[in-house]
Amino acid sequence: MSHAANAHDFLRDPARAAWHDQTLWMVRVKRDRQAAKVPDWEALREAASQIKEHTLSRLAEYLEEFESRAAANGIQVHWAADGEEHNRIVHGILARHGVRKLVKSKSMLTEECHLNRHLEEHGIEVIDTDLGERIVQLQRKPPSHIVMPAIHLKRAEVGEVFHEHLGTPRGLDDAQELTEAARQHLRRQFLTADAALTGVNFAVAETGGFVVCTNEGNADMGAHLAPVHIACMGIEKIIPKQEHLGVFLRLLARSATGQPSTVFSSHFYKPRPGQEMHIVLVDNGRSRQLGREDYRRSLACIRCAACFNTCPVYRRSGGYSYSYFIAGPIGSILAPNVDKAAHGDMPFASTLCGSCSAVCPVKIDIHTQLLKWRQEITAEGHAPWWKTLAMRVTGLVLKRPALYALAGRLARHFLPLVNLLKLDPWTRSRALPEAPGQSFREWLAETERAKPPAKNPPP
Amino acid sequence: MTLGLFIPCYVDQLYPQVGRAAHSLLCQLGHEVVVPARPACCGQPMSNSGYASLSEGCVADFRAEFDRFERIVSPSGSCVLHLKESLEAAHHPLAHRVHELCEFLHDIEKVTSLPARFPHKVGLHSSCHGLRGLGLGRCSECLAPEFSKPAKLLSLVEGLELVTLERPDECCGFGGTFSVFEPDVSVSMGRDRIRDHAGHGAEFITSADMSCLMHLGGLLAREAPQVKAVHIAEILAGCVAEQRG
Amino acid sequence: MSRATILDAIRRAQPALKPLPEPAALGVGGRMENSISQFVATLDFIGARVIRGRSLEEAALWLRENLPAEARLASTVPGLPGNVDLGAVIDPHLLEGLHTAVFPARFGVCENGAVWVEESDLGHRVLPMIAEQLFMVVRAADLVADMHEAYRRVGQAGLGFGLFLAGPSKTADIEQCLVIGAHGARGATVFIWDEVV
Repeated sequence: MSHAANAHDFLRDPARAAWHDQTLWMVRVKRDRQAAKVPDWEALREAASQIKEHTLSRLAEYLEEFESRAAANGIQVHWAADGEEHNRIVHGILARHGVRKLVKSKSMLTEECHLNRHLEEHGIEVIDTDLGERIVQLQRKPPSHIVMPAIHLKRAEVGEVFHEHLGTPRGLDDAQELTEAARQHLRRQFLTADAALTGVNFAVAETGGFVVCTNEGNADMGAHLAPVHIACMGIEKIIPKQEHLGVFLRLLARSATGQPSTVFSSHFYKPRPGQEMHIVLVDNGRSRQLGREDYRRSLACIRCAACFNTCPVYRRSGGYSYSYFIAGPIGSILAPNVDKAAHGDMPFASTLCGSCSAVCPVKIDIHTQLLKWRQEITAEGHAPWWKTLAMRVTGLVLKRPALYALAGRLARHFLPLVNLLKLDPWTRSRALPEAPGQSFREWLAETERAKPPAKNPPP
Repeated sequence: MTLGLFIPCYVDQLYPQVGRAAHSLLCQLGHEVVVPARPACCGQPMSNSGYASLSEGCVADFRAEFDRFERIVSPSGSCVLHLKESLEAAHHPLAHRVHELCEFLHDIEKVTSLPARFPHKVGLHSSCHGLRGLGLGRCSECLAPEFSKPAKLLSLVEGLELVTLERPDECCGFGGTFSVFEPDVSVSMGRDRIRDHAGHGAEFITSADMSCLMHLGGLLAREAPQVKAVHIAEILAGCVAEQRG
Repeated sequence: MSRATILDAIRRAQPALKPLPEPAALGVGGRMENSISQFVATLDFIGARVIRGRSLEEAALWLRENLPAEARLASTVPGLPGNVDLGAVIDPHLLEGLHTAVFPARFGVCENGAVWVEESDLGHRVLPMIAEQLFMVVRAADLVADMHEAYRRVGQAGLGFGLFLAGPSKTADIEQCLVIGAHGARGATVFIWDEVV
């Protein structure tokens, strides 16, 4: 289904849609408040943007540096060209250790690779441990937001899910009590897991270490208890030096949730004694995007989701209205790299208001890239034929003054009828203006005819 | 100065009063104002819909007709942004001589007084392309000091009171063809905007972009007819009373 | 093995070298306030409790007075003894049920209320997550204004694990309602001591 059709469904419940909008807008407001307390905020954004641009121009070298440092620290480094290879590597490690239960903290990469399904097919139980992610996992649904995976759900709905899966009393809808139930349930999982998998927020070439940020502490609970820790990362997560973390960590939590810092910003350098630590570096289309000059900078993304929260379209259509697992503005410039036909409508699910680019902590020109994808998608024939026809006709008329004047007169003539019928997507909800008797150009010509010839403007 | 005035297609056909107001305002300031026969359109509707190649003719016509002017003014931020970006991409110097009306009045003309009077509560809709594209003001995402060229110009109008908005610069949901291909989201966004303006007591919603006002005005006509949408040129030129009674 | 394939693809795709910026030259850093009052205000904002004292004895007194007598307490701060011998705990799973973890922080960050904690001060990496309550000890002289100054103090060599820890664990995943105590500690206390008056 198209984004427009999904959005139509989402907006059928206006009260709920308004709630979704306001909830996410509040996150944007919190971001504004925290950013305003940082006098060097705009300088930070510029620095972050330039560090990422530099890194992308030396990506291969930094990955090699990271690999050798990490290996020297006793971390095993793996490379995966695509999602399938990533899944095979992860499963291989788990199978070698006879793992039956894996606790996983938030990793959009494993979502991208459909890891859970792959492991479950091999008989491994996968427990997502981020609260929001656990909720949607129990529903067998994907996250609707990359930072707040269950943001689309009401408390009562979470209560129903927990009643069914965790045995909480029916009708429980208190956030505190629901969270407590999840805490107890997931603590048991942490204590009995055979392995832990985490994502990576930043990997540092200089040290071979990596940083994982959470508020709940779930990544740490998993990684520090389990005998095996696997960290999966896209190759674009690398930054050159440890000191650069200062720039990115100051931006990340403030942009994501309006907190001055995440609660846990954990720096992993080496496995703990007796533990095995693995890192899987995944390409899966990223090197292709790196080669696309117009879209390269999308790889600078630090997954803060500030563009989701600020996007007026996302807030009013919800994460599930987008066809890609990463929704919102950033998802809409990443998805066409993967499949232009399947996600061809995503770059059109935007008014190009530019709020995403203005809020982005690493200054990705998101709305400009959306516009560029639109050109590519139509040029490759992924637009409906009637749209192409309509645009060709419009272009033709607007280029020919006589034809344009005639079309204008006709349009104004039929305008009251169109307004009355309310048959088209515009007039169904909006009136068209009352048709003026005379266009501006007609008025001007008349006025100038009435003037003495000497005062006429030069031709 | 002889100014080239670019009146975009939809303003020409549907909102001639906005063209007349811009024309009158520039004449009041002592300029000679010329409106060339071509082009009718900046090309943005095609370009934003993914048919940039179909808009090239419009930009070429614009270049041909307007290159002779030292300054070109247009009462439509969105069209100006598209022209500027297209011309900049082609490294054409004309890019720096095309101005949105408020930008022209504020930066080039540096007006400090206007003979206009408009004793009403007005909500200023900061159009996205004017705000974030042309930099007519500071957008709320940005942490730089606050400013707004349209608001500053409106402060010169006698009796006009600007209302404070809950969300000062959220998009109205027009978005060109977005408004017809995504009508539900578009209308939902527009409704939220008019609620914000009306809820803060605005009698009029104004903007430097008529396209946003076409969308908001269309909703107002159906849902809150007591509030009117007027282009900023109409207020600054003192033409609203004459046009709308 | 895909290593070579991936690196080749990246080399073909990556653009000409873009310079690595010097963040300070762009105006980054040195703009936040370095003061105990700022640190305390931030800790308050992020839901941590602050206690200030002149000596560690005051911390010991506070713990005696505020913790239940039967509470399992593990401490790595000399002078603040616990009743759980961390050295004897081989398997970190056995720390489950720990009431309070007491450990030192190397320094605190005024801009975000985080403290930097190193593995060697924890005994077990999981200590700050598995305990129900945290009690962190930091000297008043060991405060930095911002994260740039912080990273100048973070070591690398020989470090296995370290973290910036900012208050008690929390989540807002259900309807954006803030709940303190997600998977990690339900409460965090920062004891700031040795103030120069």
